Amino acid sequence: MRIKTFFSLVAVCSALTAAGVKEISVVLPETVGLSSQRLVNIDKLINQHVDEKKMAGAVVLVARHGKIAYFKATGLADTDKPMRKDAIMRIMSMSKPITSVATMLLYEQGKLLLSDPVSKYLPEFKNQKVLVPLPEGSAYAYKLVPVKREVTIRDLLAHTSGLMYKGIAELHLDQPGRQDILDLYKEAAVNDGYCRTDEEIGDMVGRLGRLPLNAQPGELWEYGLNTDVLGYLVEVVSGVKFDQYVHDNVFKPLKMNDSYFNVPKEKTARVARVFKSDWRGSLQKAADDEVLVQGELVMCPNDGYKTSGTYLSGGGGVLSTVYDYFRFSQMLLNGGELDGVRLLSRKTVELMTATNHSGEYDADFLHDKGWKFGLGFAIQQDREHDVDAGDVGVFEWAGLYSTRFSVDPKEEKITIFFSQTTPFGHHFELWDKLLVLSGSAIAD
Amino acid sequence: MKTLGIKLVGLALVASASLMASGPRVTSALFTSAQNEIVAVETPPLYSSKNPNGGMAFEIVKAALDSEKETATLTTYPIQKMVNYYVTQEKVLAALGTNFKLSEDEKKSVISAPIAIFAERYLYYKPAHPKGISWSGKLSELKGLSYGAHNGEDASAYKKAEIKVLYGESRFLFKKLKTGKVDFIKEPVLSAETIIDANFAADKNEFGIMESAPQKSICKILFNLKNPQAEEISKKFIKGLSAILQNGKYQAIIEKYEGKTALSSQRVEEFKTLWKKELLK
Repeated sequence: MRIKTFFSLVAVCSALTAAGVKEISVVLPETVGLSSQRLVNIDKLINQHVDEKKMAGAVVLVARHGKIAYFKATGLADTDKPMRKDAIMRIMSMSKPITSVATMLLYEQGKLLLSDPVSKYLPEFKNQKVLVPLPEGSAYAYKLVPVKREVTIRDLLAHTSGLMYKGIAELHLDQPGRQDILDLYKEAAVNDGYCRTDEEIGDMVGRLGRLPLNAQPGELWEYGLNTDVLGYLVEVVSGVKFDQYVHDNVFKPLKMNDSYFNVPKEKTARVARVFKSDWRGSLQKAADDEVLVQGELVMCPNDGYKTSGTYLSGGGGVLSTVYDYFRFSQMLLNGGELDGVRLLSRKTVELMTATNHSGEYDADFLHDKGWKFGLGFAIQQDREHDVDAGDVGVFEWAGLYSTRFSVDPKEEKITIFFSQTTPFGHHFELWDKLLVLSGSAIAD
Repeated sequence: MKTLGIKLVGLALVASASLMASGPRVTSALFTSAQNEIVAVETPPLYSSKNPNGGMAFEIVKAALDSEKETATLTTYPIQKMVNYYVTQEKVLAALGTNFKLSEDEKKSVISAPIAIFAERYLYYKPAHPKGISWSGKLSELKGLSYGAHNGEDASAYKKAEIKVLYGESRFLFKKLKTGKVDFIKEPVLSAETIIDANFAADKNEFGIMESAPQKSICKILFNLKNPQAEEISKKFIKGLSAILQNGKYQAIIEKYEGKTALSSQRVEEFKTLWKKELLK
C-alpha cells in the first residue's frame, strides 16, 4: 500500500514537470486495476507509428475509475515543436457529442422535447420533401414526395433525419438519387463544416432545410449534417449564440479550459499542425492556408488558428485537448456529473447511451455491423459481429483529423487518442489496436 | 384593475421575451397551407419568405390578385433548380423570377407575364481591379474576363464574347467576386444593396459600378398549367395588374422599396408601356 502511494506520488510529480499542466494527476495504473507493464504496449504502438512517419505525433490517455492512468504525448505537434499533452487539436466530429449534450441540457430544462418537429423552432424545415429517383428514361430524374412525418430533434441526434454530408454522399453515388441531392447541396452551397465561411451557421441551415431529404425521416441511419442543425437549434431555443451557450453550459462547468470554437490568440501556439500522411512514411505538413480536397470533402485545417468567426458548426467546429475531452467523457461515464457538478441527470445519459433507439439501422460508418447510434455517438450493440475490443454498451466517436474517444461503462474505462493526421481512414487499425491494448491492460 | 394591468404587461413582456428566442424567424408564409403557392429563389427584398409581405415582386403579385379577390402564398428556395422543379413538375400556381431556363416542352406548360422592370448594375471588386473595368456597353470589350451568372441565366452572349462564365446564386456570386473567381457580376440594385449590407458591410465601398446607366431586367411570373386553377387565375392576374397600374397601387409598392425617385418613376412608366404591349399579344 505504501509502495503504491509512493508510486502514485512519483507519477503525479512527473506529470507536473513534463507537461506543465499542473492540475493533471496521473495515478499508478495498478491503483485503478490496470497493468503498468501492459500499458507499455501502448508506448510501443504509438512510437512505432511515429517512427515509421505514419503520423507526426499523438496524445493518448487511458483512465479507469475516474483516474488517469496513462497520459502521454509522442512525436511532433509541428515540424519544430514536440507534441505536448496540452496540445489543442481540431476534434471535428467529436464536437457532435458536445453539441448533443448541449441539446439535452435544453431538453432537461423543458425547453424542447426530443419528439418535437425541428420546424417548431426552424420554420425552414416545415413541409419538407424526400427525393425519390424515377426510372431511367423518365422525363425528369426524380420526384419530390412529402415526408410521412416531420424530422424530429431525436432524428437529428440519432442521424435518422435524411440529411446528408456531401463528403459522405459521394461514397455511395451508385445508390439512385444521391447524385441529384449532392448536386442540389452543391448548388445551394451547403457546407459540410470542415471549412468555415463568413456566413452564420443559421444561413446554411436555412438553405439546407429547404432542400429535399435523402430518405423518409426515421427510415435510414445516415451520418449527415444533423448536428450542425442541432447547434443552430440550440442557438434559436436558448436565444444565446451557440459558442457562448456551449462555453457557459458545458465547457465552463466541466472546467474544459482549453476547448473553443475560436481559440484565443494567446493559445494559438498550442494548436497542433495537421499532417498529410500516406501511412507509408510520406508525411507532409499542411501548408498555411492550404485547402485539402478529397472529392467532395473539403477541409481547411488552418481555420484552427482563427481567433474569431461566425460559422459555428455543431458537427465539427470545436478545438480541444485530450484532457478536456477526458473530463467531458468522464462526465458521461459518471452519469452526467463530474467533480460535484451535475450537467445532466443519470436518466438523460442513460437515454443518450441506450443501445436500441436506432431500431434496425446500423451505425456502420466507423465500424462494421454491431454498432448502433445513440443520441450523439455510436454504441456497441453486440459481440456477434467483427469487433476486436470493448463490450456491449461501449460508446465512442471520432474526428476527421484522426481523433477518437471510447467510453467503456462496464469497466469504467476511457481511452482517448488525438492526432492531427489526414486522410481519416488510415488510423482505423491503430485505433482498434489501441482499444485492444487499453482493454488488455485491465488487471483486476 | 390596476393589478390586472400590471399582470398583463408582465405577461406581454414574458411573451415577447420568449418570442425573442425564435420569434423573428417565424414567418406566416412558412406555416400557411400551400394554396395558390408561388415559388421563387429567396432574394430579399424582391422575393423573400423572411419579409412579412414577401418582398417587392411578390407584393405586386399579391396586390394584383387581391384586387380580383384571389390570394397567394410565397415559398422560397435557395436555388433556381428547385424553383424550376416546382413550376414544371408539381402543381404550384406559379413561379417568380428573372432567370428561368426551361426546355421548349416546359415553356409550353407555363403562361408567362411580366411583373416589373428591375434596375440592375454590373459590379466589380475594386481591390481586384484598382483602375476599374470601363466599357462602353459592348461585351466584346470584356473578352478574357470572368462573369458570374445566376443559375439559370442565359449567358450565351457572354460566352460568345469569349467571356468565361461561372454560375451561382446571388450571395455566392458576390463572394466569387470578392475572392477573384469572377471579375464582374450583374445584380438587381435592390438585392445587391441588401446582400452587401448583410454580408459585406465592411467592404461596402469596395464594390464598384462598371457603367453609368443602370441595366434592366424583366421579372416574370410563370403560371403553371399543371395547376388546374392557373389559367383562370392568370387571367385574373392580368386584370388585377392592369388595375393596380392604373390606381397607383403598383407605383406605391415600387416606391415603398426603391424610394420616390425620378428613375423609379421612369421605370414604372416603362413598365406600363411594356404592359400595354403585353396586353396586345
